[in-house]
Amino acid sequence: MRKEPEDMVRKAADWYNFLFNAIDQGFCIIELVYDSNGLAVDYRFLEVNVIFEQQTGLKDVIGKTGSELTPGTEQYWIKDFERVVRTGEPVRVENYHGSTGRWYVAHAARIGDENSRQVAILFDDITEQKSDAIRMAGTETSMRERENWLKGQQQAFKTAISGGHLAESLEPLVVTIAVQTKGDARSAFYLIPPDGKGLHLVAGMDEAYAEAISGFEVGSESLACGLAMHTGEPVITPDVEREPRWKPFLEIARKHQYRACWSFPVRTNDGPVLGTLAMYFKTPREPLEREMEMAEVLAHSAAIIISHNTELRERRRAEAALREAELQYRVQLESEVAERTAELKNSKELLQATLDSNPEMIQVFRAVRDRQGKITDFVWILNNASSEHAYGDVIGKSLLENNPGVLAAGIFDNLVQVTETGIPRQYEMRYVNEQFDGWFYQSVVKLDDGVATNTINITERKKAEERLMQVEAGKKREIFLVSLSTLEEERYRISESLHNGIGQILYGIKINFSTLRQQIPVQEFNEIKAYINTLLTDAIMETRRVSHELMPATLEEFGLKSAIDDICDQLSDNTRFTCHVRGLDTRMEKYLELAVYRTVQELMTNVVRHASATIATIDIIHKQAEIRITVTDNGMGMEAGKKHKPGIGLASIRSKIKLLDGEIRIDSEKSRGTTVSITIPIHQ
Amino acid sequence: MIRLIIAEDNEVVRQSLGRMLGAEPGIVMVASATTGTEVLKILRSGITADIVLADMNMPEMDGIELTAYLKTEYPAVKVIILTMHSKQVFLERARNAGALGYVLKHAEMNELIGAVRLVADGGSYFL
Repeated sequence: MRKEPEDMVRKAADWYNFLFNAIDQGFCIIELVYDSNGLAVDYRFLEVNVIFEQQTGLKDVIGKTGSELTPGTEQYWIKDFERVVRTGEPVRVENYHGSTGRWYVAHAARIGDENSRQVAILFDDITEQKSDAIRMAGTETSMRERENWLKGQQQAFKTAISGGHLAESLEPLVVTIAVQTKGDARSAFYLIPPDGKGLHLVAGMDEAYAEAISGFEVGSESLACGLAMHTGEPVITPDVEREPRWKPFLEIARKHQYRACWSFPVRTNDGPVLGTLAMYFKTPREPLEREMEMAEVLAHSAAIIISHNTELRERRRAEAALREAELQYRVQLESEVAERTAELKNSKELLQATLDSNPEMIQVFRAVRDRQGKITDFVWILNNASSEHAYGDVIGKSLLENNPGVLAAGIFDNLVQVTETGIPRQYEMRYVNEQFDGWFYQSVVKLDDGVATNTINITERKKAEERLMQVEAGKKREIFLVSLSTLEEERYRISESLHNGIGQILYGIKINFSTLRQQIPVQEFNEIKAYINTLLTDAIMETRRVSHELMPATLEEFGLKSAIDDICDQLSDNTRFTCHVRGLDTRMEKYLELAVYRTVQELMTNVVRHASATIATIDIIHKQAEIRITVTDNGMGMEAGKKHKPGIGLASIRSKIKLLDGEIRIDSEKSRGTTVSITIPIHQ
Repeated sequence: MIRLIIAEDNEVVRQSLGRMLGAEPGIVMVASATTGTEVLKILRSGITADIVLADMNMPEMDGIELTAYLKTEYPAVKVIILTMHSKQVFLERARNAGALGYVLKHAEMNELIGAVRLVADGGSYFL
């Protein structure tokens, strides 16, 4: 019993080996290779029959994987085998194997239970049979594929034209690629953003991937899309693991599960490279001709969409800019209008306020004309506050009705003349009528068919002028009186000099002459004669002194300093005078020199005659704008409150100094001398 | 003898008059003064005089004031005013004050001496 099954097994094995090698169909057993995620990614050959080599052209395959033997094996092969393993249902597939360039019809069935990963495959090379059919079907497939591409392109264009986002518009192309490759390929479009340096994903692939390769370098040293972007040529990497340039990016590739990466430039016919199309495959793979064609067609479509989108975006930007500009313009216009309106209002208010703040009366009149055009009246059209205060609310009312006095005063004629000729007029006038009684000044200028007038009440000014004239008259009278009294004093002084000086001396001579009689002794005669001679000399001296006092020749010829030095010399007798004169080297105006000279002369004469002083000092200082005279004596002084008979001139000195706008100050105490200080301003 | 006092502030005139009148027979100069106040001091000192020949213009106390004083204090002393002022108003003022003579300075010396003698004899001389 035990042999039976053994026999059966052996017989079966023999039968199997016989069949295995006798059939003229290729046979193989493979085991699927899964990745860590449990996805079938490859397969390994476990057994093959003799015909296998004939059918596939592959040798020594046992233990090797599909990717090792035929990189780029279509994903659909693995998918079909994986389905058999997963479901346990055998399949019949008729597929093209790119790496061997042959068509196969294959029957695949799982070997073993549900945990088995082994698949038995019986296959036949049907390339020969297929060739005609393939040629036919190839055209048909090509037609169908192109139809699919066209559909994808149409959808993409439709989305783009209807204003969809770029990603939205490119999405149908990505889908088309996925459909075309039966899901083997994932694809993506990359662009260089206007402000960016590297590539940026716009459609296809997921966000994590987009983030991982954001800003991907473009250049001759770069790879994949970075290189395609730079060269404008497709960059096909059948297996990233085998391409040294990919080394730094393998981690990304692994993480996102692709081995093959094909990059195609996206460009319009003659235009620059706008971006790239990338296709990713889970297994190593080289593109077929039609896949290259598809990539080219779809990349071209993408280029058109991208250009369109760029144009659209630029147009939108331009439109937005235009709208923004329009908006800004409108806002600005509105703001300016508001501003101008406010300004206008302000300036109107400002004008009215300015007019109202003016104490003068400001009025504007419009002429009223009869049929012949003759001005018959004026109508008020503007009043400032001051005018309104005087005339009340007279806007729109007749000038002649409200102020008939303007006719008689000649004001009306003035207004008419200014209105007709345009020549402004100004005049002062006394007006005693209606609301006004006094003097006014009026300025009239033409304004439209009428006049603007500015009227100032100058009654107060006129009164002030009158008062000023009175003051002037008073001052003139004062000057006259001072001159007169100065003259009188001068005469008195001359009279005194004649009376007390020369007159007395001459009287003395007369007396002595009368004593000269013939009988007097000779000695006495001689004595009297000599005395008379002395007296005559005295008389001559006195005459000279008086003459000199009256008209100081020194002043005229040598100036103030010399003249004052002269007075000092002449008057120094019982009183010793010391003169200090500073700043008088340049000549001053004659009247001023004379005034200073007379003042000093009178002060010194007073000292000599009344002070009984032994020493007196005269200081005269001429500074830029004034002359200061100080006369100090050590005489008996004046007692405060006691009425002194004023010396000749003290009163007249005061009067004169007052007329010269000067100041005089007298400091004196009994027995302590007197100081008289005088300041005379020099009017330039 | 006529005892005479001269009151005159001008030194030249005072000395010349003193010398001239003192040389006249019957006239004796008892004193001379420069102001009216000085004349009063002299008289108060005991010196007696018949006639005071006084200048009208003198400081402190002029001739007219002196005349008035003498009229009350020394009625026996007669005053002759000697002046340059020929105006009648001054003459009247002198007479009213009690002067018995009024002689102008530009008069001849004989006239002055005559006036002194006339007044001394109880007369009066007003030009």
